[in-house]
Amino acid sequence: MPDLFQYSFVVRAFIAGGIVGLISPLLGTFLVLRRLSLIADALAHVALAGAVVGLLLDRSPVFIAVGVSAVAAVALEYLRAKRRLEGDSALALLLYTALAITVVLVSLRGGFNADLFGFLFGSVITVGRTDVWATVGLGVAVLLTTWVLYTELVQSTFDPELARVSGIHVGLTNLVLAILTAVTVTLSMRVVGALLVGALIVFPVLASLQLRQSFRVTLLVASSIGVVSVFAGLTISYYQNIAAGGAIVLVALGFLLLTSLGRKLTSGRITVEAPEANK
Amino acid sequence: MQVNPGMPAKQETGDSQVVFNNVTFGYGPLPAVEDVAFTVQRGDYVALIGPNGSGKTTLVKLLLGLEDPQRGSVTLFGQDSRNFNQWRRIGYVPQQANAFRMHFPATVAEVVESGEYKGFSPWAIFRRRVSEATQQSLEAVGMWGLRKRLISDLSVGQQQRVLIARALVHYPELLILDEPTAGVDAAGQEQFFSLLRHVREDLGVTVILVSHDIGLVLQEATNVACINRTLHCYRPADEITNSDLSHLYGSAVDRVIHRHE
Repeated sequence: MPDLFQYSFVVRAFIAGGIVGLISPLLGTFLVLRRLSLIADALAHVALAGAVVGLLLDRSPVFIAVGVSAVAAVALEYLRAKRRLEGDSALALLLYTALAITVVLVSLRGGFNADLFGFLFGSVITVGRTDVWATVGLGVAVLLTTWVLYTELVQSTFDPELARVSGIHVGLTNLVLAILTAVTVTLSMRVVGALLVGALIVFPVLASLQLRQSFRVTLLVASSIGVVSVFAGLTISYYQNIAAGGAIVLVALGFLLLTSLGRKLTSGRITVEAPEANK
Repeated sequence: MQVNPGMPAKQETGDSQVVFNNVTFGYGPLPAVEDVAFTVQRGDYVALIGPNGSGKTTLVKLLLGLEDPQRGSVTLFGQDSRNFNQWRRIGYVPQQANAFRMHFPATVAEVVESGEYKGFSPWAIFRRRVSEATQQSLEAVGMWGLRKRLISDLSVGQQQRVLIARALVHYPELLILDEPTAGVDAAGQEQFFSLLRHVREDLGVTVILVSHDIGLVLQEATNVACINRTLHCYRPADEITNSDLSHLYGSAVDRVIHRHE
């Protein structure tokens, strides 16, 4: 066993990080294909505001962050469904409101400290026992919900009207996706930090999309890239003593560059097949 | 492709599948469609024609319950569109030119299979084998050989056939198509209309088609509905006259009906 696992805080970081690395690109695939990847960024800032409230009240910041970002996600989905606000203006409104509240709360508290810095840039090494269990519990819940609602999520993403005409409750599905995203973003904030949450949700998906596979395989590859990026980033961060969040995102970026390069190299060689008849 | 044994084989005449009861609907203050009333019977092949922005697509959305009428009502298979739930009796082929959808990373088989949705199923993610219905549907549109290709790799005409296969995979009684041949070349259009003929005549499916191609539609459809906000005419295709068309499209229309050549 590599020597880094002799410390329980490293083991905890790998468990929490692995879960987050798995579910972030899983939901990210649906968000990217809906052109909603910025929603993760907006919700991360809301979660940050929630975490700061938690710090101020001296209550569990993660649970308050999950609650606040879930409420924001539902409100956002409501506005979108009612066509009250067009997609990205609603996101901008939410993001900057949350950020402004955060800044005000931080100034009330008398400035930055280590905890806040951890939420901004990730602090997976300081994940405690309770936080690991919370991450595992919520992460597994996200995983199971995505699994069970797989068809509904895929179809409402592919074409919402077509999905409705197939008898799918698209509004409800979107609501569930919004809540899952809020939970995922909050868990991810602990690992890579609020500022980099979006990267862990988007980069592995973009990398996977370069491979041009079926939807199932795209989802599987994106999640695998997420997990491997987190593990590799944590390992590098341990041995080189660099920030884990940044290392994770840079590894994911490496995957994206690799798959893009691979696609460039192979696409020149693919011969265009004549359309085959039934066989 | 075979007719589903569970589907009623006999063609009851005088059986109305779709009824528009004086429907009015608009997105803004002005109605997009106003006081539209017509009935589609089982076995009909109805073409909705009209200029751009005349409300054809709006009628389709009202018909599918994607929008609710502001006045009047739409009835499908005897059920009000507002609480319609017999989705498996309907197949819908949306407008083709939707880049958003077509860049989706999905294979031809995955797209068609999604049409088999039968309600919530937690095990859906495990379904690996291509179902018999999907195979039959893909064979019917001549796309079985391309089942493993990504839809984004196909031509517009091929994508259209995949969407038709998706709409047919659960053996619907009514097929609704919104400008299915937009962006499809002449050969593709010919294939498309012969496919539609087969669907209608051999499978007994009622067809409602929104189209720009008046010439072809007048040859293929049994009934034509002329829409320009209001319903200008609704009659058998062979009773549509040049004056109906110039009334509908304005005097600039230079299309001529070549019916008795």
